[in-house]
Amino acid sequence: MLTLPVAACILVSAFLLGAQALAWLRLCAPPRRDLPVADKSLHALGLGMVLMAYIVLAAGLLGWLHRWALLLVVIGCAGLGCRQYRLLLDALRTLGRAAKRGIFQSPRRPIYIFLVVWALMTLLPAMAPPIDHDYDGLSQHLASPKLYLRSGEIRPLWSDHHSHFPSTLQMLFVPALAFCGPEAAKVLHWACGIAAALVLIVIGRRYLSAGAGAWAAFALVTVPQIGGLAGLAYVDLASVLFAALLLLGLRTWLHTQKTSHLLLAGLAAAGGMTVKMQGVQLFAVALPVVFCGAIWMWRGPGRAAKRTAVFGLLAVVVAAPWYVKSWVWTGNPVYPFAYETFGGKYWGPREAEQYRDHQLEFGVGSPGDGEPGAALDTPRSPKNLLLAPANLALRPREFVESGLSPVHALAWNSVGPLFLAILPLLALRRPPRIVLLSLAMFGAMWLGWLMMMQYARYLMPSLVFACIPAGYVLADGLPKSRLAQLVPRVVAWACGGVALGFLALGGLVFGSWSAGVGVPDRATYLKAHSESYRFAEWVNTLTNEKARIGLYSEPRGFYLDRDYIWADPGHSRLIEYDRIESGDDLLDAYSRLGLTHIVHRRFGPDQPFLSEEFQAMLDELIAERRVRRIGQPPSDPSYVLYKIEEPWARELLK
Amino acid sequence: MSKRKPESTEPSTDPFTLPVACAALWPPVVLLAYFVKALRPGLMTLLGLE
Repeated sequence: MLTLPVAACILVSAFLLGAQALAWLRLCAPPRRDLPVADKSLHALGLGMVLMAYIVLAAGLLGWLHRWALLLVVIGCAGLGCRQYRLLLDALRTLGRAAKRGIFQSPRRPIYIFLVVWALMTLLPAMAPPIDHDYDGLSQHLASPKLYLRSGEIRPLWSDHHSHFPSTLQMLFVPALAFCGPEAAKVLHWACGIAAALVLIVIGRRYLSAGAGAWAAFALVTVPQIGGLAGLAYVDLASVLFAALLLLGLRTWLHTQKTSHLLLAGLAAAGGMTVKMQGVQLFAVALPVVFCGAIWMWRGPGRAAKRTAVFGLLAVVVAAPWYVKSWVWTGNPVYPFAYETFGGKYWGPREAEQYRDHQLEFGVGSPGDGEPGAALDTPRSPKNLLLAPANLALRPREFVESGLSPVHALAWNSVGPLFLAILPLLALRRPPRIVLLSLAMFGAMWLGWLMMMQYARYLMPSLVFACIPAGYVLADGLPKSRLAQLVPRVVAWACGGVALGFLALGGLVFGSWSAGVGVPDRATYLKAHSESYRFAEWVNTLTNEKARIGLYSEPRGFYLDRDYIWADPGHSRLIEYDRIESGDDLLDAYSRLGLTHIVHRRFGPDQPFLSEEFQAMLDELIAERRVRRIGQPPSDPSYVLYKIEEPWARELLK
Repeated sequence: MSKRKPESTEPSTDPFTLPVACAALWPPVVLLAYFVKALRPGLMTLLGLE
């Protein structure tokens, strides 16, 4: 019921704050009406999200993460920006007029109707409670804010290294969770995807043609993974939004040559870095673009270097607080990456190696085990690098987690065939400047993706740069022959149809469409579709408020109303398993962390607790009645709950 | 001054030129490959036929 109003209030508040900040920085001040309303509004929304997240972060660090303080934050941000209400009204009016024109009058009506249908088909799952396939949401993006809210402050969550990443969107999830629930957080993420599509429409219209803008947005939303993400509480669509804003800012600057517009691009690059560390790659790609653009404008490396420095400095300063926070808490600004250089608290060489190996295992071919000939078929071997565009479209399972089902990989975690089908047609004509700029940035991002981690979801922000060329080809770049104009567009529509089919499949399989409108009720829906909810509810009923739980093989702790940590090795070195030799050592580690219970999820009846050795230790502790096996939830017997029966644990539960 | 029609810079409208052939053939080939290599196995799994 409150989902949409709460999400809308947070977005409006962020928008007004961003608009006011742009006015203070004199980037879009009223006397300098140098940017159209749409451009200004989208930049304001992006900047406002970044700033509002910092305010929530500050409140959290001060220990003010309570509903009254969060209400003050939301009202305060809106209050600070209240003088910009005209821009908000103008933006809504412009959007309404554009939507009306697009749907009822435009010759591109089918594309705009498709975009609206896509938006509605993704809004419903976004409004549904998160279930098991919202894996990162239930384990990190929603779970960390909930733990912060429970404790009333933002503190290091040492068992989850992700909690040290930049967390702009997670900070906005905090008020969403406080005033509504995870559904409002999901709608915020969905809104980022919609805003990104709007930015692409604006870029296309402004610098190519109205058709190119519409087709560019179409290309973005036909990516099955974008559709899948729109219904989840992830943060990737915010990365997509800031990538699009960066492209808009850079192209505007190259067009107007005004420093204020370069600064808008710098703020967008900063926004990307405050959402995910992946944004650093985007920033690194933008730097040479700014330098080359400045040389092209002023023919002098000195002035170009100065402009590049201004762009880079602004982006670094705005994004820095997240990296400083990580550095202060962990000793590593990019924790847990670059461990060899910076080190990191509760992290070690073994964890760093496992993490790196895990990142390199995606893509076609085996990561390489040193066998003769193996180097010819690794994800980074020349053959697979060259075939990567085709493999990405045709073999989506190779670019996702190995445990994901073929249907899941294809329908909600793939890139789809549109870019492979359309982008090569760019060779048929010399493309305009904005297309070349997009292509250059896409090429650099693509190479970075190939060399670092060939994981489909991490390509999403880069795809923004492929959407503009795809939109150009479909609208303006085809040969003037009826056949050549018709066939690629028919193929694009087929891709669009497949994308909508996948959304329909998700809506029906997960029941998320009806759940989005409250049918069945929340608890019934979650009981039917989410084992992580069922086990958490079961644990909530069997433990008291003061219980602190160690989770093994199940990181999705969002629905637990208890304190908990991820206790598995690999997530952190909170428990140094390599130094544990007996049951006493294990209980010592638990007492140090205040764990009163542990939950072990077994992926098979014979799966031991960590290893045969640790299973023997646990069995011995159970035999000695120092640990009690409480049982398994009847509906999900793979979960086992244990209670520590030591005096210190009983004391903690009092 | 004689008025001369400017030479068109648009590609030929001849449906048999290489650009036209590329535009008409490449996207359907990719779509077909997608249906066969990616979509079919997924659908087979969904329908429990694999």
